[in-house]
Amino acid sequence: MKIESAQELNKLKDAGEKLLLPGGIRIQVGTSRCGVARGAQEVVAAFEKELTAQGLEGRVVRVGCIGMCHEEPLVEIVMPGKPKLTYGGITAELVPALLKSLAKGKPQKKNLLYRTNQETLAVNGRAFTYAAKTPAEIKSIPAAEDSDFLKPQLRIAMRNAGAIDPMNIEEYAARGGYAALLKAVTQMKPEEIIDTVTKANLRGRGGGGFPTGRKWQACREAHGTHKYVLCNCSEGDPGIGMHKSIIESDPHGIVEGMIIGGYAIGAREGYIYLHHGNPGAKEKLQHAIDQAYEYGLLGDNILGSGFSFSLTLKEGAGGYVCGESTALMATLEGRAGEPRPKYIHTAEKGLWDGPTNLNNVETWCNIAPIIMRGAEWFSAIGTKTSAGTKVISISGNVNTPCLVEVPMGTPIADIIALGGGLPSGSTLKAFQLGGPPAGILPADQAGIALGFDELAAAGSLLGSGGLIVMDQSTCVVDMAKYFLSFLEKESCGRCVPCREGVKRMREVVEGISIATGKEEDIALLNELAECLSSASLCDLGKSAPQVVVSTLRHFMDEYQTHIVQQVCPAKRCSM
Amino acid sequence: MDLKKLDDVIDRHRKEKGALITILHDIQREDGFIADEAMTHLSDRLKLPLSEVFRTVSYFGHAFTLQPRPAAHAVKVCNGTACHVRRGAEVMSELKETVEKEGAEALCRLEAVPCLGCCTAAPAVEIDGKLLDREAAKMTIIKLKSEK
Repeated sequence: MKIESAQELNKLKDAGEKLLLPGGIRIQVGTSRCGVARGAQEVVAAFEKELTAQGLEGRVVRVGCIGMCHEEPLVEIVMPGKPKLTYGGITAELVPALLKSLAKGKPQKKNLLYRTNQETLAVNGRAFTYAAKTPAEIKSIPAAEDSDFLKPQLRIAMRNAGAIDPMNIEEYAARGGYAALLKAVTQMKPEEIIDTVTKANLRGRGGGGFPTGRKWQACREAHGTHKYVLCNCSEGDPGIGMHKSIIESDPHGIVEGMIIGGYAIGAREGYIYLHHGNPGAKEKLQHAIDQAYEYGLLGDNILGSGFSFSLTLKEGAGGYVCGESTALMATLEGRAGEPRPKYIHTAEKGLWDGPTNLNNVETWCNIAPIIMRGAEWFSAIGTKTSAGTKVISISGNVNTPCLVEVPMGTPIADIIALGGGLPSGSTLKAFQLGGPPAGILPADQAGIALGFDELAAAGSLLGSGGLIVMDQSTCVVDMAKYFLSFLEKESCGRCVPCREGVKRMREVVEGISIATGKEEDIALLNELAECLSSASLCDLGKSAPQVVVSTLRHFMDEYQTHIVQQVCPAKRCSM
Repeated sequence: MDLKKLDDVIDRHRKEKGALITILHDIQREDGFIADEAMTHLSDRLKLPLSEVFRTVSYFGHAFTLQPRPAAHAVKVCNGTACHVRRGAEVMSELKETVEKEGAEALCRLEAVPCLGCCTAAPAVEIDGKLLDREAAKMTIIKLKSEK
């Protein structure tokens, strides 16, 4: 069925609503990475078996990531006229009793985390109601919007994560999906869209923080008839999996954003670069693309507007450096993923020498809500220079590693608290936000507000938003060695400063970690850092010394202790 | 993969621009490695210099191999930052010990991988695609050996 009008899109939406708010029980089981690791597939099977055994009308739906990785397997129950119930830690053995209690109309309190009566859909600001009233028997259960975990959050990019079946376009439409595309291609001029994105003050979520509207403008104005829009889902950072999670939870959000971007820029072709080794994400994204073609949301004459756009998913073949724009484009062209000098900007000459615009997963996911709700709505969220929200994955020495989306301007310390804080007996020593190029910041900087400029002022980077929390058991020399070893392996080897420099820096730091360090090593490290950051070809080499530079700045004592006393205070280094 | 089958793979991706990496993924999945003959044939069919094909294969060492990988079971130990902070290196040496103690060297291929994307389970291990914690991973290795 091809959708060509608002009425037809409404039909899709209505069909989806029947699925989201059905006559029987709807059981949503989180089946992203963490859920599956804790046995979510067995939970799905158990529910399916029990529904039949107890003769209940219902459907089990595999949804994506709700974000509370530590409460997996997470199960959400939707019943007609009742608030949505969120259960945590539901294993297969717990399923029969849980279903029985639901069938009796007395939902069990055990494992029940909270209830949701109503949600505001981030994409259009409308209310999505499960139940107008709260039944007396569950009144004592906290409301989701008041919970410590959800209250500080605002989910825009992750608006549908965990709420819909990622394989079902109808459910996406029922939560306001593809209405922004309809609005964009039928009611807005390309320039108007770019203007909206610019005024919204959306900045690239991949790390650089470049204003998205200006990037689009440059590509729109570039000479050349064959333009491309790309999505970067490289996510090669060691220690984050949030893009995988967004793709596995809500692939249509990316597809919709990219079609709108293609229309605004004047591109007819789009490519998604997906990091190698994500079979789940690949399957879901490909399925979403196929569905979009089937419904006429991709292909020729989209929604009867005369605009045509094709979208192709390409799997990369590994490599951290392939997240760099020119290396990514080389990989998409089927070549070895090496960066090239950017004398000519990729907005002028990028993929196959055509003008090219590259944004990452999270940036694309922000587009549809901005189009629906306008620039003013978006720019009012967050801070003056960093509008909107940021998806943050919290891991390391925290009690409950998780995935959250918070407004810009939230202090880092509050985000650490969302991860359950540090285990008892642990004290915050340092943290990293944004992968190796961000370096490491000490505990006393945890009051910094989340934002591009705020972190840059502290000598760090917002980066892609992987927050690694480190307690007193970590050693900064060991961390520097760890990151340098990683970057040494990932250096593509094309330019000498990076290929040789990272290796030499790693050797020096390793020397310090095995008690063969010398006083003059510090000066040598600074000299190497200077050389790398000024002479490397791409940002991998340019930012490689950052972890050493930042730890030297904030933890010089610890380096000295290693060198002079030959002691590792955290007892991590083998001395 | 014989050349006829390889031709089928190439034809299947004929419409895709710059399909070399996509085709290589198919060969690697099917054969477990990229044979010399396959590279020569790809060079002919795609009109690419053989050096370019070889360069691409050898550049992406994580994804493509020139020889079949030896052991049947992949034991992946996460070496992501979160797992490193939570002492992933210790897990690696513990599992190595287990593998040696059980004499399962030929059966299990231990490798450190960049990030398994499941920081809750840090330090995380994956055996044959299943995510495990360190104790479960040890048990699995012992079980694999005893089943052999």
